[in-house]
Amino acid sequence: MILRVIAESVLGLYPDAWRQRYGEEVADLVASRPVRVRTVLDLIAGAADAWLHHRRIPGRRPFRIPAAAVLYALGAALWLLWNPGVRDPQSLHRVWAEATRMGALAHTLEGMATSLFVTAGVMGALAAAPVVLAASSAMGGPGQGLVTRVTSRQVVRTAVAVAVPIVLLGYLYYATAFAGDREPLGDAMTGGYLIPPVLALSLPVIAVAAQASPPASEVRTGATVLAVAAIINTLAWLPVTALMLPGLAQASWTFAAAVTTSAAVGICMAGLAARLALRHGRAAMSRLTPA
Amino acid sequence: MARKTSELGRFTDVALLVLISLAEGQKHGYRMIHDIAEFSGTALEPGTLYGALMRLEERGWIEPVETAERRKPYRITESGRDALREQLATLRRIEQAGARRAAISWGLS
Repeated sequence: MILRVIAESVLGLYPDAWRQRYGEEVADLVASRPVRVRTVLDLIAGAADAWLHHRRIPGRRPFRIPAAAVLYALGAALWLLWNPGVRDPQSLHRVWAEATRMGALAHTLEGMATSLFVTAGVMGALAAAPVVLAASSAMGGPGQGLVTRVTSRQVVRTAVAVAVPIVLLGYLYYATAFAGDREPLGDAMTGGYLIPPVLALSLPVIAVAAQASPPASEVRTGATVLAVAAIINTLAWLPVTALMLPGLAQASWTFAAAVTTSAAVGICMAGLAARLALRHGRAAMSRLTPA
Repeated sequence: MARKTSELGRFTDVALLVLISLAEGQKHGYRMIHDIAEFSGTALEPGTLYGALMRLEERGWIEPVETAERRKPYRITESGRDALREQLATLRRIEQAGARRAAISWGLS
């Protein structure tokens, strides 16, 4: 009896596509035959085999890691890199000391990086604004269909939900880069850690809005703004790189590795958010085009 | 055939048993297990059987039969029959070579 229950629960270890294809048949076999320890071990080995060879499952869909999971992982990576990157005063001080040999150019580069990150952040935060405005006017519109009104409500709710963390990130950016007494190089880099999550947070609003046809042009506009913000976020790392290069030899290897990895992760995160937004924009527009 | 079956890995023998079982007509998993146990003495477990069925279906040697019943039967396809013929011919050659060599070494010839 216990072995039968275990055997049935082992079926849950198989890939979804396998369970959809063979799950019922195997569950029936398990229910109608004696179950031994050997049966359970055989099913466990079968589950491992099905995962290892999931490409062989008839009718399977291509295996894809959900984009949201990738964005979460990249966001988590940025937070983990924050301390070894922005909060290593010794390395920041040494690298900045070398950068100041460039004279006023160092401060210009620092200001340029900060301005670009701030611009990217503001654009990212406001990317969803046209969509939210269109959705809020469609919510109460008597001429709108039920689907549009429901989707519009979801858009507004999603916008309210993401607005809170976006505001918190904005405050954190202000508190770390502008309000405190910090290293100028650290201030220049801070945006690289905080702006990509802002861009990623705007994405759900565009994704939800893309499900309804009426705000299609606003969805495309929002996606384009997000894409431009991602490009600016990438460009912002150029002055940071210029500031870092002269004094890189003076910094600890953990600092150099953390900043390099952070730049790559931040650029990837912003790029992925923009790419997904553009895809939603294209999908929304294609719904408007008659087949 | 050797090249084709080598891709079946540890399921090669089970796949052969399944093809032999289906060669006389369509069967669902439960009947296949009983049939295979009867003609070969091999007691298959569900995980192994369906690992082989997945591979055979993927290469088009067997196919499911549409049915409203809970138990879904499978049948052998034409390419499955060809594969079975080839594999049985290989086994016959192996059996003949084995018998011949064993007879020489045991001094039976």
